[in-house]
Amino acid sequence: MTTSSFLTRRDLLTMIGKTAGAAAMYSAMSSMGFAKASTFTSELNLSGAPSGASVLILGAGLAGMTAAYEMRKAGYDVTILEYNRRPGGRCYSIHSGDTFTDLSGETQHCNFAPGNYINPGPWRIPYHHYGVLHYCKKFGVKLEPFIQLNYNAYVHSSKAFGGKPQRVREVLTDIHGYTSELLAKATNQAALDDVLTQEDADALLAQLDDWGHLTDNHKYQKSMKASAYRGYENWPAAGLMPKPSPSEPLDFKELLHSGLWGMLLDYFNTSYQHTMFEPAGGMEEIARGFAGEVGDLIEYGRQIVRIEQSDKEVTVHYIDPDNPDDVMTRTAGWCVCTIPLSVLSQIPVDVSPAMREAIAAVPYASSVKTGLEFKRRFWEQDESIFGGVSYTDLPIKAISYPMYDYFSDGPAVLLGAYTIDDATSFTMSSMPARERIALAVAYGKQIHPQYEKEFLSGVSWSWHLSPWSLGCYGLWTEQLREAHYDTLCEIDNRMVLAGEHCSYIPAWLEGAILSGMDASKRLHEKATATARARDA
Amino acid sequence: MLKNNITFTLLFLGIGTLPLMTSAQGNSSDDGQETAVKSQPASSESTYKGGESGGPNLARDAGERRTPPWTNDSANINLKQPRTPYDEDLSEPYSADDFKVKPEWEKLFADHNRFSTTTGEELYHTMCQACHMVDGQGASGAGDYPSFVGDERLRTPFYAMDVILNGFRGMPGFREELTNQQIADVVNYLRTHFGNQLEADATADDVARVRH
Repeated sequence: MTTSSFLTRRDLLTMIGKTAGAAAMYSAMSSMGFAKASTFTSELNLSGAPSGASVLILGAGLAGMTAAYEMRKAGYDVTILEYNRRPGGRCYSIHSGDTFTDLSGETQHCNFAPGNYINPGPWRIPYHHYGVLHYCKKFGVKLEPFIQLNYNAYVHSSKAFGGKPQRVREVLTDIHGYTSELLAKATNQAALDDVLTQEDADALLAQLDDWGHLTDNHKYQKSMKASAYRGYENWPAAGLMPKPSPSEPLDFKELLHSGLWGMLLDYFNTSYQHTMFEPAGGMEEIARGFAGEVGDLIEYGRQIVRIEQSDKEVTVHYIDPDNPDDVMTRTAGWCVCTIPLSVLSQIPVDVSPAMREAIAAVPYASSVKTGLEFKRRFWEQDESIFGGVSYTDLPIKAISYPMYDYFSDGPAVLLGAYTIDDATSFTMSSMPARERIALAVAYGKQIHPQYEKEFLSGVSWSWHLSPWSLGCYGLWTEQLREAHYDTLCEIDNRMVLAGEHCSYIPAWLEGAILSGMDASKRLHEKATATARARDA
Repeated sequence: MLKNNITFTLLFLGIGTLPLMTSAQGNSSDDGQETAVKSQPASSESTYKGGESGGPNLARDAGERRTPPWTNDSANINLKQPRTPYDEDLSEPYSADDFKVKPEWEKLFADHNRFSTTTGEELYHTMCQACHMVDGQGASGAGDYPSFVGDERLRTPFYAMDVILNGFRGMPGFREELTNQQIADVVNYLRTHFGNQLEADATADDVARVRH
């Protein structure tokens, strides 16, 4: 018997990929440093803009609005040009009554009851995304808890346990139990003697008994001790109600091969650890918060068609998409460009060849979200699921329950499908929204049979059909970062790029905000240094 | 034959990248006439008509306006057909049949990490269609998805193979999600549809050469 070495990172990623699919893989990669944690330290306090200095900001998403807020505060004359007719970019919510048309030409009307909404893009904020939290507090955006881990939600495999969804608490407890039992067995069979002293082995066994809820000589089995964690057959009650009784653990071998173990990873990754937050009323509230500060700087309906630079200024050519023959120009001393690379790579831009290459190097991920409205909160009323996320191996991948207005009567909206960056996501994106909605109901009812009877309406959003982003987020790899990331983030003459694509936290609001802060800071340094050199 | 194709591909790719470089350089060479007021320090603006001399040309002549090669407007600028609006369709109530898992979905979603269909037609409509649309015409928003209608770049199968394997600009590559045979099939589909009347002669071996 040799000491087993720890899993390598590659082993681990392979294992996760096999058991849990791309979403878990993505989140695992996030936790392993491909997407680094926020490095927000303190509020930017830029000041002393050179007299008369101006900045054009392209895009009124969170990166652009962060830069606008900070640079105006520093004294710059700031203008934001935005393609959409609203602020926020991908920080977006689809509300009751909204109508939108995607790139396929399909128009959807959101028929949800008043007040109901779905967040098609970002939807949850980790406690360590300090930049987002800082601006939300500053701009008065009310945040509510976002429930990622609900022990009473489900993990579901269509190929295990007869397709019956299992409660998270049951699967988690059984995995702790069975792995503890196996480790206790190995310890007792002296298999670990080359790494454990007798004293170590005794301490390990004692803790395995607690951690794994083992009884009866280190066995994981049906017991009141385990049921305190996995749930009971008859839950403790009162009077002459049924006496408390233990529940039966899941079959170990079936659990081992079910894929449910890997699904649990999305609950424990640092990206998803509690406490998480969401804005009351939808993600767009954050955009509104920013726009409350910088909305007066934004010009809407501006499609950038060309960006030129000289050694004195930046000239941006733009059109109103509804009237494309009139080309307008705007000139400023400096420019922060937050246009997604999927779009920017199609616009002639005066930058170095290396930066042009970097702009063209990053592919954009696919993602689809489908929101479903039901007549009543059957997940609360029938199944005691209050918020949280269930995961499944079905094409819908996840169901996330609303985390506001608990116990209310009347229609409620849940996230009925969430695919990201895999073949399933592209295939779903190839379907009309009507089919994506039907699909979310058809598969989802395998987990919640109430779906069919209670369904009211749905909306579905594919990020590759988004007219203003042409994709979901910048899909960096280690090799791409190595080759292009630093170049992409450098100031090129009088222009700097910002956005989630200029961050190690791709797809998250925090990446956009930190990038907006970092770009403003560096551009301000260059602008003041340039002015000093000129005046010297 | 194969060797010729490859040589042609390399030539083609080489040429394909040239307009990109020249478009950026060319653009900066004809500016200076449309004048934003340069003396003002604060941001300033001006307006001109596309097509007027001096402005960056947004006329409907793709060559004149230096259409970037990836937008492919040179091939299809006048070929766009109006799309059927889905509005009425959406407002229709769903029936119980809509909420049954369709056999084709089971096939399409058999593996989340790979495309499971086998014919070029099926692959196109469950993968490429997500951006290039059901009719192969691409789409336009803040940026464009290229059209395949009369697409000159499909004259060699190797260009499309390379893009599908390795991605191009915002488009991700699909080397992990598709077999060589699937890529050959979808390339052959592109070369024989959307107004393209080329040979369906791409093979899995050809794709293997490009995959390296």
